[in-house]
Amino acid sequence: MTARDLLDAAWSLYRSDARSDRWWTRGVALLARQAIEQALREWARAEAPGVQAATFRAQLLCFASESGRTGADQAPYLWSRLSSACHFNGYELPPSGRELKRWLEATEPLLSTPGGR
Amino acid sequence: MDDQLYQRVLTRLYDDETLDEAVVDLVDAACRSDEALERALAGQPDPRPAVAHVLEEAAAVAPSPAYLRSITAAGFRGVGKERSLPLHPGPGLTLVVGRNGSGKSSFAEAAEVALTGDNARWQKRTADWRKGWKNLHAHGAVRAQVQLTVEGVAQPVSVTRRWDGDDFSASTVKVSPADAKADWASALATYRPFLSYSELGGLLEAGPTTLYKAIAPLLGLGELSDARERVRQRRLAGQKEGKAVKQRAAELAETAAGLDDPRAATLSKELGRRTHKLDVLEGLVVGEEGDDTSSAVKRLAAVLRQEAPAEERVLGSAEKLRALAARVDDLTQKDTARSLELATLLDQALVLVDAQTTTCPLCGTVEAFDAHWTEHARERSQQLREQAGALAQAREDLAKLEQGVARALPKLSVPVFEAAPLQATAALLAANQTWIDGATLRGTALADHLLEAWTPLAEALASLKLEAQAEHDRLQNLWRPLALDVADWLKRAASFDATAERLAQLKTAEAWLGELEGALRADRFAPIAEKVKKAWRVLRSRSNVDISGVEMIGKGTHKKVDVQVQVDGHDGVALGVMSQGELHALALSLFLPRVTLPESPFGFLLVDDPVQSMDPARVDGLARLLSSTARSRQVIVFTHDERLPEALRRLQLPARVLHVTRKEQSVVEVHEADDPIRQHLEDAFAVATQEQKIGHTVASRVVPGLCRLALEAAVTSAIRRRRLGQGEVHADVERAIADAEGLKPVTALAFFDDASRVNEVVGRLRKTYGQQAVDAFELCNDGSHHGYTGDMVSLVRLCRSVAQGLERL
Repeated sequence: MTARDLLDAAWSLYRSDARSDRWWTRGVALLARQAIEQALREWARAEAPGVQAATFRAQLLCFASESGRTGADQAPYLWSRLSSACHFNGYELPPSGRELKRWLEATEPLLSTPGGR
Repeated sequence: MDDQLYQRVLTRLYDDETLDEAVVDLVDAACRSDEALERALAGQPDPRPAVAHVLEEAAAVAPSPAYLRSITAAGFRGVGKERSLPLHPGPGLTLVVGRNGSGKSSFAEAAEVALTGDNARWQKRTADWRKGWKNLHAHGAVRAQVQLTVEGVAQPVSVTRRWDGDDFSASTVKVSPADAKADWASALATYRPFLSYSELGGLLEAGPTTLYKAIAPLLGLGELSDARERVRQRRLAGQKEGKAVKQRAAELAETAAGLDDPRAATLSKELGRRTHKLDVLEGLVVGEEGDDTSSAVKRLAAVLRQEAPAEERVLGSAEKLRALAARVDDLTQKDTARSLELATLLDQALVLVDAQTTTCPLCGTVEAFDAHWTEHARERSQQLREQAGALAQAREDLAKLEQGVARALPKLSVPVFEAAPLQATAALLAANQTWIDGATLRGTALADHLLEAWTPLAEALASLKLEAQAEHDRLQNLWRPLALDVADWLKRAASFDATAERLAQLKTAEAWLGELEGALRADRFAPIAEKVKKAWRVLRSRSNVDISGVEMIGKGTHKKVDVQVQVDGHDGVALGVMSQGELHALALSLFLPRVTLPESPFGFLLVDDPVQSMDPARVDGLARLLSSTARSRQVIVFTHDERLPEALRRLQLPARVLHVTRKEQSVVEVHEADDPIRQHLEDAFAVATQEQKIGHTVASRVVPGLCRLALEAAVTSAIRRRRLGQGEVHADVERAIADAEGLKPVTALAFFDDASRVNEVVGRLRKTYGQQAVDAFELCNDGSHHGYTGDMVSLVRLCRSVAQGLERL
């Protein structure tokens, strides 16, 4: 499953009538985060094979500085925001619909290669 | 006075060089006690203490908060058979949901009554209503109990209130363990962790002064207010006395002005002055008749001193006059007048005899003058001369007597009283004139005059004196009480004058304390006001009303909470423009900060039915506000419908929901619904079973994440329950949980109190819960990043059983 598939699934869930379900927010966040992680794997395999040996966090930082994709510098922050929506966090408010949309939009450019646009 | 506050007052007091020493003593004494203030006022102030230490803004030592573990009721209100409301002792939001009459509010009331012995909502109710406190199905013990966990104290504390009879006010309370620090009486009044909407609405409707009284204890300046009040009471008493002295002077002046008495007129004038000359006034009332010699009383006294000639004297004089006059007449009739001439002739003849003449030169008789004749002549001459002397003497005596009597005819002084003329004056004047007119009479006529004129004179004088006496008595009877009253007043005025300086000092002391209170109050209220504004912004939802400021203002009995309201950005709008729902929201905004102050020893807050009269948008605001309060406090909300739970679910705000239902015979059932563990498992199950509808991609990618959330919630719940139950500080526990990012670190924290021991988690999991637990962890973690390809319903079931085990860790 590609990062694109995952992000499309996130968008589709975001727009679906599951909005009224309690798990909707977490669901969208889980899919979006997996899209970023998949995009990172795809980038490493295709453009930076050595990186795969590093820890996930190190890969993420390399991606942010080396991938050259639009908004890639925001990837660690975006991932961490999504991540906290995917974990049980005592009193932190789950993201609102508007936040989710912004995150999905921010994930979008991370998926495409510089030349591929 | 609280020592820290007292030291602060002293520091400011000693630094203020504009204050009189005496005022400094008064302020210091007022801060201590009534008795100390009395001593200071009596001129014997206690020695002033030194400022003990340089005051630093010592960080307020926040007390260890107490959290509720359970509320139990038996035979109380809507609860018949004993039932407990199980609570998690620590911050978090718990909703107690039940229809009206389900018994849910009985738990809220039981908690309040157990701790305070009373219930604010009941205070306004009728006696009949209050009788309903006992449940009809109460069999055996009637009690209300709370169990608490105090941070830092390992053993739970229980407070149990029991009733043996039907009298609500006759209860006994027992704290266990007996040595537990459960002295919350004053804190309960100050921070009042019970909010019922009817009570809050009432406070707001009762007006800004009542609001002030409810909020003021938070500021901890009550003792400063007390000190100022002590001074104020004495200042008022002093001013009242000053007014009374003035008022009394005016009354006395008016009374005096009404008297026909020059003394009184002078007195009235003196009493009417703006400042009284006490020495002058004293002079006026000390002498009985005063200094004014022309006073009516003085002249009447003179009249009373007038005497008519004594009757026996007058009679005696008349008798003597008559006797003398008769003698003169008698002597005159005996031709005594010629006696002297005859005696002279005889004497001349005797001269001739001596010259040896014997013939009478007159008749020529020879030998007329013989020895016999001569002897006879000598005797006769002597006799005649004596007769003449007697007449002369009698005439002289009469003349003398007449002169004496005439001189003695008294001219009486008869004063004229213009205002109240004496009736007998004219008669007396006439009688007196007649009497005096007799002075020209002589002899028997004078005697007759005396006898005739005396009686009318004596009678006229007697009746005048009778009148004068009456008038004199009348005036004195008016004057004496006035003089006595003024004398009394003088004492009072003198002692008031002596305290005038004190009064000025009291005024200064009062103003100084008032300013200090205002300044400290503004300082201390500022952070609360900020919380109020924040709370309002969360709550107000679509309301166009904003709170631009909240202040505690005013002095003495005019203290109030001033809520500055803006509508669409325009200032100065009264609370009257707000709707009922807005007012209730405002009340909640005002009182939530009260219970969340760090100084409060209560970690819990009970809110009874806050949703009434709220529109749905404001319920969202309420949910957010309660939820944010629940980050630091244990918030227990009793609500009669599903609006608030729904809002919380929709907004995905964490809350524990307890459903309360009441069955036959007041049997109340409490069921837990929707804790986060179950919530996430249910969500995962819902997604797993709806794979067809949701799509495989979504389901396979989402279910492991939701399962992991459930596992994390279970582990977190276990950590909180155990560590908070041991009395650990909540903030520390939350920080540890927040620092442990991810399922394995947080599980390591739960297992070993150390989030870094992730490598030992799998071993411990396998040992305690078996391989299936290790599988659940791996599948969830991997699936959260890569998706899960196996049977998702089985995964949810596996995770449910592991979560249940972990939760009970």
